[in-house]
Amino acid sequence: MKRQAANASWTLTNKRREALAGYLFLAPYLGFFLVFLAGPVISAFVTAFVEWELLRGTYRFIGLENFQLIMEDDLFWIALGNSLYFAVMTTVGNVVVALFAALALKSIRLGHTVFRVVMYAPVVLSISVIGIIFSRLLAPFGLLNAGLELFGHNGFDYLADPNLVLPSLSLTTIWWGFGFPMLIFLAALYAVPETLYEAARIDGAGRRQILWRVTLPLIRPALLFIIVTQFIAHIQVFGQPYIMTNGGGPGYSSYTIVLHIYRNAFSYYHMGYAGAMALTLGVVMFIFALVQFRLLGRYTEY
Amino acid sequence: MQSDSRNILNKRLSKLATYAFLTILLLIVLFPTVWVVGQSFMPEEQILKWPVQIIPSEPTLDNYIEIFTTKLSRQELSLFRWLFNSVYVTTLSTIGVLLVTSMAGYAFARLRFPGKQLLFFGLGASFLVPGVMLLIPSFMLMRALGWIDTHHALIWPPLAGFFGVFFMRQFFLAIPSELAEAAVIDGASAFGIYWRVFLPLSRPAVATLGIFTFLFIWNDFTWPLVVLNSDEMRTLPVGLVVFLGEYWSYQGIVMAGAVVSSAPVLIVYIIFQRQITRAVMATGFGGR
Amino acid sequence: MQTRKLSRILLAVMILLLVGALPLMAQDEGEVQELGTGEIEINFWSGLGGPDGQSMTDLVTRFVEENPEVTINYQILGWGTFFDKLSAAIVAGSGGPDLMTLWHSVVPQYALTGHIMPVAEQMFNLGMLDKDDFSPALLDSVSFDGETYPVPFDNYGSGLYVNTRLLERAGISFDDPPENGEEFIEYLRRLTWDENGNTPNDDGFDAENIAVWPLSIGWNRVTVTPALYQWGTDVVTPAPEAEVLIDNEAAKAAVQYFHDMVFEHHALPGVNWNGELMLNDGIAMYLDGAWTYNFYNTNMEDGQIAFWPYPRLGPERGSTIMWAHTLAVTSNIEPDVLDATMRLIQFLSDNSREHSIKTGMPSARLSLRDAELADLIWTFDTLTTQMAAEGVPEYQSERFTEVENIMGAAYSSIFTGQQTVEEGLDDAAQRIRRALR
Repeated sequence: MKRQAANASWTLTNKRREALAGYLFLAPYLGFFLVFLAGPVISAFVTAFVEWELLRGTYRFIGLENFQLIMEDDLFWIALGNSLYFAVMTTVGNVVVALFAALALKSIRLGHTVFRVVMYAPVVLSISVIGIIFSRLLAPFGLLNAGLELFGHNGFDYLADPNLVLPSLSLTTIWWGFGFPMLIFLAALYAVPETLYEAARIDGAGRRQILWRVTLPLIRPALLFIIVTQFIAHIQVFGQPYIMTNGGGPGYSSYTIVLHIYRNAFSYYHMGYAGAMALTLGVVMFIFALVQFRLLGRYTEY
Repeated sequence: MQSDSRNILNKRLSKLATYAFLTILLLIVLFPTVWVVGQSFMPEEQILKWPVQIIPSEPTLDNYIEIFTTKLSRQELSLFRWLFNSVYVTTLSTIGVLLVTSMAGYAFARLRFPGKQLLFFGLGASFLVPGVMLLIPSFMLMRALGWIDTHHALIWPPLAGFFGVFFMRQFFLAIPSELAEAAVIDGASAFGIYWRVFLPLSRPAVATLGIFTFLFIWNDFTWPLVVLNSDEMRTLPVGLVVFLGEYWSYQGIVMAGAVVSSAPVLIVYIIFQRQITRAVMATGFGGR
Repeated sequence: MQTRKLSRILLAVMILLLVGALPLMAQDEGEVQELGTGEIEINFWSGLGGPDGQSMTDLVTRFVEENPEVTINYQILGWGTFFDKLSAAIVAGSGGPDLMTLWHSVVPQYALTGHIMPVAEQMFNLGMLDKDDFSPALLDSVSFDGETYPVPFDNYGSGLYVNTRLLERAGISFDDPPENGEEFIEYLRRLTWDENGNTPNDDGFDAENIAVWPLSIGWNRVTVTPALYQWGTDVVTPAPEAEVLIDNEAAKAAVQYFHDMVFEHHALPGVNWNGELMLNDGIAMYLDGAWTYNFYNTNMEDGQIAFWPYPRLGPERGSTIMWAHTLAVTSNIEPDVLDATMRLIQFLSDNSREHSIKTGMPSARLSLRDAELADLIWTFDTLTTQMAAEGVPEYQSERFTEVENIMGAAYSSIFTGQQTVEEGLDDAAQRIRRALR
């Protein structure tokens, strides 16, 4: 009896000590989390409901007025449209290029590492380097037009043509980032048991059929992950137009929503209004992500 | 027999097509890179010439010399200063992230305390907050702290990132508990176990997390653009862009700047490509 | 084992970079950021960069040589980021400049919000500068509630740079600048050649393969705004009324003129700066500000580029747009720094003739615009004559940055054919009204 009690109290104190240690280990991170993440998240919600003009020093609660202003702000909608267009184009482009690259990589052995290493390399570069390279490459007298001239074509002014500018930025972004989804797809492809392919082949399935009936369904979780994360990343596109099209030109044809938020916040210092736009964008992204999960996720349950 | 040889032929053809496809993709990736490097070794007159040249006919180091020997008339070219800023900020922040998140990850993986699950998922929910929503409130926070235009604004906020915690937790969970038990019997403290047993065992994870944090902070553009004002505080990516805007016509110098700014990350990438690849494939982290 | 080795390499690389950069940074700081070694530190932000900035840099360097008690932390920022950074520093409450260059157009943005002080007023009262040596209109544009805020440094306009070789080829005499809008269009037609050497006036002109463009309209703000005046309008009227004019019929007619120039008369759409192309006989004329003088002066062969006044295009009057770089001082400057800063402003102003000679931008001091300068600067006579006769200062606004961004995008939309003149200007006017509300 006595011994049991002693044992219980021993475990109790031990438990307590372990719990204390747990909290102590967590404490530094928790501190940073509260200050640099939780705090800003809360203030993101507050900011959306105030008029906050930093240059003039005004701060007052205005309820939903910022959201009303958003409804009337044609630039918000133009910018949101551009961002959506860019995000869809870039996500689709990235997925297609990355998927084919991964399929090709998986089927070869000789030179596999070289191909893989080189194709992922642009991902580790910074957007400013990418921006510098491609604004020069896509300039009227740049490399791409020099290439076209070899075929007797006069070329285009990619970044100055309202219809070409977003596709050009999208291509730039695909060049920059397709290595990432490629690796994710490659991992997913390796996880597909070889026996399934053999079975399909024995059943007389062609290559296209295997791709559609075996490969794609089996890597669907990876596909879903990539589509959602890519979409969320690319709808927040900022650096590309900031660097390459002088902040959204020509006109507003590459003016994206994050540029609009950036300008309102950090050029004009309409903090409240910009905060409301950021919150709206956050909600829009959340809804889109949910829709994508529903649409794509549904087929995963077979 | 015939179908067999046809099969082999087919296989060969498809292999050839695969290699052709990959080679084209490889060239698309490599060609602009080679061109940029080429331009950085070209004298300015040559760059402006039409048609465009790929390989410099009279290679010169002038652009690199120019970029590292700043002149008064082009102060924005304080490239060494920017390089130092980038190294400084990235190093300190990475060390901080490794320490803080590995400790938290250890707590979540190895210690029992009330509210653990709830905390883990509560913190994990921060994954759902998009970066753009945090930009303005974080800026206001930096302003309140008096950290605008200081390196504090770049060093400390990354320590709040949850990815490191998650990543380290996963790794610590996979370490066999016998090792820890042995240490307990030896009378080691909780910190002792973490520091002397778990941390040494998780070197690969720490290295991988370190590389990713390094790349992420080194390359970050939007945040330093927002919180830094003055020339001498800028990191390389922001400095380069401001420079590009002002000196559009000095293309060779800008290209040399691009090369210099990419070299460190590419070196890190090439040294650690195996680990980076493995980590990306395992965790889905590291994309754009 | 391998990972241990790798993480060591990583660590070594970082330490190497850190250590390697340290001494270089120290050297960098001494050389570049600070001029002088004096006790009193002045933070000076200048938007005059590139070749334009050299004269300012020279002056600042000389000032610290003559005033060893002063150190100047001198920063050149591009105009593209200048006001963003300035506002950012104001918002941060620290790290901003003591002294800064501001366009006169943007002065209300910082004067009316109390961020800069009436330093000019103070210097006039102290007798450091003579009020009568500045154009009254110019001083008026930077005065609020009867006090003059920044000190105008220079005062410059825009005009038409022409390639004399191409003028000759078209048989146009330099002494015969275009007199009205129609004649200007006629000149454009005569100065356009396709790859076979035909002009639009010849049969068989190939509009798809143009070898020589007649005109580049580099920066719409510079190029189009004078036309607004010539049609009798502007972007907005001054505060407090701040009436938006850009969607009235006159403004639409003025912008339409340029729109037709781009779409019917093959003027080069204004996106990239085409100074190089003009030197290489790819462009015949270039409407731009006085500052471009420096580029052509350094890069052209003798007499290849000449300067005409901004042509009379509109029905109401002739005009050119005018700006001034002004020297402004922050409101929360320390007293002893203010003293040194005022001496620096005085020095810069007194020596602004040198700036004129190097940059082609005339000094704001009337006494420093002597006749001799006409021999030294090939744009000077034309420029100052037109400025005196028909120069109009650019509109000003408390929300200048925002209005200017809206206008820039509107012009860009119109001249790239995304919007008609009507749509583009109506949208712009609506956005400006929103911004000024």
